Amino acid sequence: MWKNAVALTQKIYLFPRCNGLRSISGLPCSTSCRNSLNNISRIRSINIQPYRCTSFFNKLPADHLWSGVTGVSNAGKKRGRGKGIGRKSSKDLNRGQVIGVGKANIVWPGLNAPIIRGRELVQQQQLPPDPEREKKLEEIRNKMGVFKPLRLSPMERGWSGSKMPGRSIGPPDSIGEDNFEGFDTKVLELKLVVNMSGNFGRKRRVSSLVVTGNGNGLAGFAMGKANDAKASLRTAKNRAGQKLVFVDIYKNHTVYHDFFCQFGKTKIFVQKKPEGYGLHCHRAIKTMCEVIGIKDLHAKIEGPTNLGHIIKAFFLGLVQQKTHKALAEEKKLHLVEFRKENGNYPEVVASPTKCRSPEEIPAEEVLDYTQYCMGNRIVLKKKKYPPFYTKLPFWTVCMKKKENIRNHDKVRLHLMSEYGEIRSFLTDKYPECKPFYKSPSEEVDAEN
Amino acid sequence: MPHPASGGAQFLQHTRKIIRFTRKGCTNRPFYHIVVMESFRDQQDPVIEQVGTYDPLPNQHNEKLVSLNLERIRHWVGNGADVSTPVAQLLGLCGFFPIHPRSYMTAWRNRRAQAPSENNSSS
Amino acid sequence: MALNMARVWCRCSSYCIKKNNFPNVGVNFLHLSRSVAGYERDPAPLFFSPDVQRIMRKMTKVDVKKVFRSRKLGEKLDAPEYKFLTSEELEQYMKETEKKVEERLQVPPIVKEREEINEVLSVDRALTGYDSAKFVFTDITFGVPNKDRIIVVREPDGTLRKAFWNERFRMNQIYFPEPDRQLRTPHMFEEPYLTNVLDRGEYEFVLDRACVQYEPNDPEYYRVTSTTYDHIEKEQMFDALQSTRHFGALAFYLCWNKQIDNFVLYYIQNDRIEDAVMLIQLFHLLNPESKSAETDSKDALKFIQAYISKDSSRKSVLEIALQSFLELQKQRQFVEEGIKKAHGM
Repeated sequence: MWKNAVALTQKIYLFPRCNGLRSISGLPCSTSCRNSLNNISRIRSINIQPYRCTSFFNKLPADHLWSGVTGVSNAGKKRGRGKGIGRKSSKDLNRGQVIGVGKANIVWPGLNAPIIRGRELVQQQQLPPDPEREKKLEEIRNKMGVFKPLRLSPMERGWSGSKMPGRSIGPPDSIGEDNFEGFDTKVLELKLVVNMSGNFGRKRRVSSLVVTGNGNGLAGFAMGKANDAKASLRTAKNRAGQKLVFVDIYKNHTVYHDFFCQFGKTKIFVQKKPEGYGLHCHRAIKTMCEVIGIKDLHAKIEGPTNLGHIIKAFFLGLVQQKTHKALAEEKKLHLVEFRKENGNYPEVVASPTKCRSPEEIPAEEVLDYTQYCMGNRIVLKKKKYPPFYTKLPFWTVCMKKKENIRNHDKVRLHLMSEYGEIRSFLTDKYPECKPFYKSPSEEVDAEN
Repeated sequence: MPHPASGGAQFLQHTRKIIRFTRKGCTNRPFYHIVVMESFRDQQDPVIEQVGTYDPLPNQHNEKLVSLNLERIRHWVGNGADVSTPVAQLLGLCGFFPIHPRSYMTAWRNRRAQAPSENNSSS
Repeated sequence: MALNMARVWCRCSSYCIKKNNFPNVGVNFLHLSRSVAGYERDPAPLFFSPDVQRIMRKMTKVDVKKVFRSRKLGEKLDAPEYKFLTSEELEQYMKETEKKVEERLQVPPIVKEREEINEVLSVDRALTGYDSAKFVFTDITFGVPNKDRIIVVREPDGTLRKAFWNERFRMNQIYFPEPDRQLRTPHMFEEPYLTNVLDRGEYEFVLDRACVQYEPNDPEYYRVTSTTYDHIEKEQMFDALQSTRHFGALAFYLCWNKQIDNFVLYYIQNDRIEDAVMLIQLFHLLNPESKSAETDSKDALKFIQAYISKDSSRKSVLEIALQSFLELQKQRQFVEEGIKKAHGM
């Protein structure tokens, strides 16, 4: 009975064991009932109506009742209705309820109080109603049925929701004495793969691609397969730890030079960027850069964005980079760096052992640094056209309206720095010359 | 479409040109361009040339700012352009033209308007 | 504020170009006859003289890395550009860089402060009451430099006069704004903010911004720069301006005001005798009437000694410093000889 508690059936609780009561001559179902019947029988002129205490609400368990209210019919389910709503809205009303404690705050000796307290027999008595109880119940019920999203701190979150790709799974397991200190592994792909075999039929396994690195140029990637995700990630992680390569990072923040790399049909154009630029690239490349330790870079992928291909192409490109010294030696020319923030001061970053003279350089030789590094490939830069809406009439109207306020933000900033508030030099003379001004009479009205 | 601040109008040889104000700014905030245009044109029509500005609202330092491209004004006046009275008054005040009689009239009227109030306040 | 440093050194180039035909500059600034606060004599003829320019330039000591250090330009950074160059091309670039260094290290001009303008053009009492506000007329004729622009004011009482300096500054900035120059004086140049900035050691920033904000003959420019120089002298932070365009100006200011004792002391204590000699030479050039100016000693130490004994106000301290320097020299020599002997040379 208690289990069947539903808000609508609360009334029934007040007559807990009277379910079987049919008539005065009927068999009493409990001692307490019997006592009360005995009392009643002493009164002569009493008219007792036969009363059926059974109803829809106390015949069914709570689950059934709830599913009746919030559930979806079989036909509906087939059509995909009501996914995940049942758990969300059903509430267990028994939570927080204690036998013997109810709305009427009554002391029942033996039920919610000891029969003998000290030397005295405890009497049944009604105490003043307890408002706290209702509140507590309400609170508990409010807490129930609310959707709780998976708690994952923003730093731990991967590319999307609580999915694994993009998430960090810690360093590879140490092998004997060698432990991977400062390493971090990130998942790039986690997917179900199936294999049809003669004996077993469709065999499911989980495949994962991870990249591990110490954020300081040492990194490796590997694929792992296992029957469950956890094992697959672990194998991949540990395999990645065994396949480390070293990548030179320029000034600890970016790549040495622009480069082009390709694996299969996946082509990547990588550009060197200044400090503070960030990683503007495919999310997989971004994740790889994070574990390798590259902080600023721009990359554009042409062709398929198959994760395995991206990883392989990018690692190939990184490994095949040439240092400044190597480039200078290759070209037999000085390599000179010009930085705008340094006033374009020509800083020689590498010199060859023997420099060529101008006569030795053939006319058709590529001398442009970027072109040389990219292997004569050029990134397709599409011309940017103004968006279509700039040709619509509303655009002109909008621009005209904005023209009047085009400098307001600057003026506001200037005034704030000058006076600490937005005012005019006329405000001294005319106090109303100020935003949100209220005249003294208005202020009095507002107070009243 | 709004016209460019300066120039852009068709120049006809034998029409009467005038150096005058055109009102810019917005509601409750007048601001004038001093421009050369054909005298029969509407105020908001394209002008032949802008030769100055005039801000009639005094600034923080109680100044009314006038800018004049004196070289071009000299050129246009020399070529027979008329000068509207308000512009002529400004040119008079800056010492480029003789003081316009209307300036004297305005000054005199202002003084006269002020005089009785001063007498009243003193008595 | 992101100050465009590149513009800073361009700004005063108009003055610097004229240093060869200096009398022209004189016309601009030397029409002042009254002695103004700051410079009692006119520093311009001495400042632009080749000898002084040469010494100031020599004292500045070019450290190319400092001249071309990374500056925050307030713009987005670009990836560095790279070029493959032959040795000849590299040399060419280096020559251009040297030219750039010279441009960047031009000392901002030091001239006498300007005199107030008080010139009434006409008085017409019949115009009294025409308007309650002043009329400020600015001639915006194309191609007229700021300092030659006609700016006149008609007062409410009918007086027509030439505009004061502050009015001229405002009108020029309104109609022909200079980039990064503010219409109102930046709070940075007011007390207590100025002291605050100087206490943080941002000398170059203050001086660069003063160059942008003020004309070199502005009394405010004189106030800001002299406060900065005094602060540097007090804190002995002379190296803060080394390899910047302001080092020559600092030396000039200190020599002009005869307060180089700390500077000389600093040099002696840091074993920089040659620099000390140059400083004293500059002092002699700027103060030909000083007692030690006639010393014609080729020996650096004697030259300094002459200055200390005749013109210094902190004789004892400087003497002691010089003595300890000499002793240190002797000891060094002794040790060196010992080492040579030990090596059997």
